[in-house]
Amino acid sequence: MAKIDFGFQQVDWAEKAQRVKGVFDSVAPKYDLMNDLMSLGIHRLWKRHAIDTLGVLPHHQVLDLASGTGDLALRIAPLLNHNGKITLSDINEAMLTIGKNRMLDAGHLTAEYAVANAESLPFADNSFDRITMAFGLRNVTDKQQALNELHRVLKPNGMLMVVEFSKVTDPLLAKSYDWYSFNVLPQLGQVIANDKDSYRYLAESIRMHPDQETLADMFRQAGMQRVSYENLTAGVVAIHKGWKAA
Amino acid sequence: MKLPPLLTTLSNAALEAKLRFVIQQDPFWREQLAQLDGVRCKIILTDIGFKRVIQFGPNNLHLLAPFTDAEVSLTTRCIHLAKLGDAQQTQAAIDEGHFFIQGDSAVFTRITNYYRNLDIDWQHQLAQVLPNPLPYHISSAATLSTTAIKQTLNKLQQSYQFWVHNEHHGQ
Repeated sequence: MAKIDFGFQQVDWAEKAQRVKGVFDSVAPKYDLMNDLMSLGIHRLWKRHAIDTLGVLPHHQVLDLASGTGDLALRIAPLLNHNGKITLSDINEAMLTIGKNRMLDAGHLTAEYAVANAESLPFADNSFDRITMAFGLRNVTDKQQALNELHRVLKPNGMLMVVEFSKVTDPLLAKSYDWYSFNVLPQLGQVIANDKDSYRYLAESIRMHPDQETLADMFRQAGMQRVSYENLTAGVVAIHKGWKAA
Repeated sequence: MKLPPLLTTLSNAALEAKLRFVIQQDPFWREQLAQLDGVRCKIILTDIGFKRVIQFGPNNLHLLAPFTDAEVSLTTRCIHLAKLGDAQQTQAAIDEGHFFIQGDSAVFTRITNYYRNLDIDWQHQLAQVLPNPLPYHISSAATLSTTAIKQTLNKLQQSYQFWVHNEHHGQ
């Protein structure tokens, strides 16, 4: 049977989704706190920068995939009017429930929610003007299939934005970042969330994720045009954008 | 001046928070803001290289990247911004080329009307925001001076009336 990476391990294709689900079921209650600790709060700036440059208009139909605890959706929702709509989707129900509660607490009552696998989305062709996926693609088993699906549900002239950890471009920073990821991060996970293994997986999955150029090529292979990426914090995170042809 | 992307994002977040704080000092800020729901205006300040789109929402305003579509854009310099507070000065600034407006001018008028209708004590706001609240002290000093002068004048007037009264009765 074909194997796929799960962090640095090789697992069966069918097994990866279940194991990723296990990781996120485990980290969901402390996910936001851990994100703040792991990134020293910088993840908030990465996400804000992403939304600021998304070019979302008030009437847009937006899909926030791998929505998780709803950080991006909470920033997008106030930009939409009664003609616009945001749909939050995640493969993990525990994470999506937290996102849904946060959206409701913030008064965003018209958002829609869907537990869905990015490789086979339950949406019609040409449904969304903007699709965002932040820190989710690296956990998908078949990334190319997911990108193909995202292209399918994107409207013509629509834009896909993927925010993901990427390859650090500064060699000095890369070394300290590696040390931090494999020594500090799992220990933080142990202390804060009592789950060292899940946070070791998160660090490993970042290293196994395609680098900036490879992911840009995968965008093009999915049919995206005008593909570009922007490195943030010396490539710790990259924002990839691609447009569906008119 | 071109800042790295995340520094720009950080400064925009700070500016957005300050703007939100200020507009929320108007007792009817929700009603005022609701009139501009969904409106987007690009602001370009050429002297400091500031380019952002402000989107107005029913409950807040948001600062977005400059390539976001906007109904209208205003290009000017910081020094001329204060002229937006007065209709005649705004028109004069347009005529003199200090304000360059592109797009839907009716939207621009709606935004300037909103700005002028805000019932905000700007001096008090400055005093709240600035670490060394100089404007507040100036304002307080001015108020105290005015009060002291008024009291002195009142006393003088009372003394004069008293003197006149006594002189009148004394004669």
